Amino acid sequence: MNAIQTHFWAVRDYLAPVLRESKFKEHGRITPDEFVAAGDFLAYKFPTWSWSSGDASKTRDFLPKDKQYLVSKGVPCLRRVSQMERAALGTKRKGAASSSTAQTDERLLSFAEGKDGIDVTGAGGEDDWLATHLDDEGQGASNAEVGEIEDMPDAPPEADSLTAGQEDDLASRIAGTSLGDDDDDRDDGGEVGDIPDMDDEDEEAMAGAGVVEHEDPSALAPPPKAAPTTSAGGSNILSVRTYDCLISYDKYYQTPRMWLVGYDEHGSPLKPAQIFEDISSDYAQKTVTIEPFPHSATLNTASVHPCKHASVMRKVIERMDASVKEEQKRLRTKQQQGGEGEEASVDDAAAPTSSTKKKKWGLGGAMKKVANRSTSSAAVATSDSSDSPGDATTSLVEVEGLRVDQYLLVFLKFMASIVPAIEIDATQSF
Amino acid sequence: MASSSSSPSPSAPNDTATASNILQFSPLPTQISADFWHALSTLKLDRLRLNEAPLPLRGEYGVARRVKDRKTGEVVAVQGTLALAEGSLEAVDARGQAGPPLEATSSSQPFSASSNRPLSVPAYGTLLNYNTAVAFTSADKNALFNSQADEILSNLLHSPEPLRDAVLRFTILAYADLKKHKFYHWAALPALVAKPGWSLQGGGWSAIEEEQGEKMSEALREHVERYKGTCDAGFALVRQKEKGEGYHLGRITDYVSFYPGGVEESEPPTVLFIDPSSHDSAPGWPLRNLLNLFAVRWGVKKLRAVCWRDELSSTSTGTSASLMGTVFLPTDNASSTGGLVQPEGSPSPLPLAQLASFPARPAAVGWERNAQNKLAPRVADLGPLMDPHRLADQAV
Repeated sequence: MNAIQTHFWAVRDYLAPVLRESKFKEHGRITPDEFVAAGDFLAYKFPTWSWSSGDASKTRDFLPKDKQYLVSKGVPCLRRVSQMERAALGTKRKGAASSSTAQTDERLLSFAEGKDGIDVTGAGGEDDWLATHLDDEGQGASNAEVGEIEDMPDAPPEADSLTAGQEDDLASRIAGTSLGDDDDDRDDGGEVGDIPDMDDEDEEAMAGAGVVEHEDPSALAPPPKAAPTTSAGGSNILSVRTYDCLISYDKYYQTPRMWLVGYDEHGSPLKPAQIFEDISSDYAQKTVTIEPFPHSATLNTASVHPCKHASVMRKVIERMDASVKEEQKRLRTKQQQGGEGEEASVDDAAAPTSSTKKKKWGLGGAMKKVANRSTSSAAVATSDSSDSPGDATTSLVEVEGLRVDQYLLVFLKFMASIVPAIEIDATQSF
Repeated sequence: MASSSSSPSPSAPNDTATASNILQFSPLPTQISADFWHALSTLKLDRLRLNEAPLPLRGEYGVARRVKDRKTGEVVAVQGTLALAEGSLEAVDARGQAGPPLEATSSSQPFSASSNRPLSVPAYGTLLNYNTAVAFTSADKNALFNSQADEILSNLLHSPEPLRDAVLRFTILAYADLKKHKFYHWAALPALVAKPGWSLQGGGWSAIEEEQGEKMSEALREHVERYKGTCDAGFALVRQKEKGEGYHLGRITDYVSFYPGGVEESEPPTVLFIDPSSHDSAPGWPLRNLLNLFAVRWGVKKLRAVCWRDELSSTSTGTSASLMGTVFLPTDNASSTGGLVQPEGSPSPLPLAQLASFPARPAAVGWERNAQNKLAPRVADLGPLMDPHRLADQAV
């Protein structure tokens, strides 16, 4: 079944025309050229991302040979999604929702609650994930179940991916994510649970066969296993899962597509069931599936199926675009007021973190910060000669709203909500 | 000052109290990506077949990656690894069959596995891929390892490219179960054991001052640019410029000519290396053989070491993670005549421990431990990602 479907997708992909016309604001899709432009911008802004050429026999001719897909290697993943979700639920139970610090916890919850009213097509006990996570004792059991692949209904995958309501939730959630320093602490310090042991029967069977090491006081003994993983004894040493993240361009859906190759704490490749532990439980094994990577002859790996990317991206972009424009307009009018408004406008330009803005449109504000550094300096420049507001306006016009080369930054925000534990959102780290 | 405490104590493995001044090195874990195994299985099936000859390998390591934990706001460092990817086997692929280790490091062909991180250092090694599980299990690993140690010593002494041939030379034993898509592997990064061990001088490690760090970073950027793709990119001699403005970096192998006025006791030579370790007080594994290189080739017993741990990119955080400290070989006279390696034709014994059973052989350590911290191979199970039948089951 999977093979047929994969072949069907391959044929459909082959037949689909290459998108030529730019309409990213209308429907969230981008052309290959825009993908390249956005990729260039991403790689420039965040050098952990780079272009890769992939397998020569799999080169797609509508993309430049050396820019087939984007890759970011060794992206750390500090904890499992279940830990994050459980932590979020824990704070809810304590009734801490009233304080403003609970805002980030609320995200996962509101999303989960929104799901209740929605018909998820026969995914068995999966609807109850909320309950299983509430029950701490049942945690082990539910983890074990991830290993088993559930039967999915035979409907095409489009049917059991996002419904319209979910998209809305998702879009609002992403648009609400804050780009700045996420200082809202969730009070779950030390929540980091035990890392599950690797299945080692095979290794034991192939045991060391009499290898002896010379006694060596100069080798650093590995930290004891039971030690907490974060900042043990002042040494910020961490052994965490890492991911190779790949972004290819999907010709049929005309959107970027995210692929994940995971490695455990010791550098061994992860099994799919383990990869699913790092994917928000709403998506694991539904929108995220194991499929052949288009730029490699043999690699099969986890991928976020792009069937709903365009519509989600459109919604996110719509909101962000509006907020970016609004911000720009506000800035412009303030500048035109001149005189006493001058000081304030400079302040705003320098720090677009005015509290309400940040919470709701933090991304938009920060996007502006990324893109419009020139405009803010322009604002400073014009405040010197306050009788020439026209100059400022013209410099703003060229970046009306969201630019298409910022598409992938938005896309990464979107992906970060599906794989919340993987630090793909490079805008928050360094 | 602490030379008395560094008694060579092979009996007690964990006497951290007495060995507090002994410099400890943080082992460099290997990270073999899935596409490396893919490349190996293709190579095995199409070209190598039953050929078990050693294959040249090229891996890469870089500084620890620092990320901010979104939950706690803390900055955590994720240790650098010796990464092997698809391109690590390219040298073989071009030749069509296994050949001798690479002749030149002057990156003639693009290295596709190379990450784009500006600070990545290549490391060269050998892959021994066995045809059967029995051969893999029963291979005489001790003998193999010891001959590696021998080779490393002779390269430290005589090789024109000691960085490539000795300082971070690794071996990977592997057995590929192509039917089950399971890959058993065991890496060894041999480092010669100094005797008595390298120790850290009084003040310990200290952070690099900001101004100093900036100047050094500038000089390092230049150095890395010049030696990009070779082992020289990862190691450098450091000298302050005459007028006190900035630093001058040079190749390790130019040691004899690098310091114009010679080296004085009070001002030991300074080496800088790209440090993959993220541990507060333990530098990374590459420093170990580098120090041995200085000791056996040039008789240097005191060095100032700079463990470079920062990215060179512009998005620096302002706070430097790099460390600086002075390390030395204690002149422990008691044991200096017994138990030291004395290669043929060498006038004086080298400050390296010898194997009990083979007096002329240096002792070395460096087998990689598995997830349970045991000396045993690891397994990469790619069945779920490669086996067509299981894939079909999975995603229906």
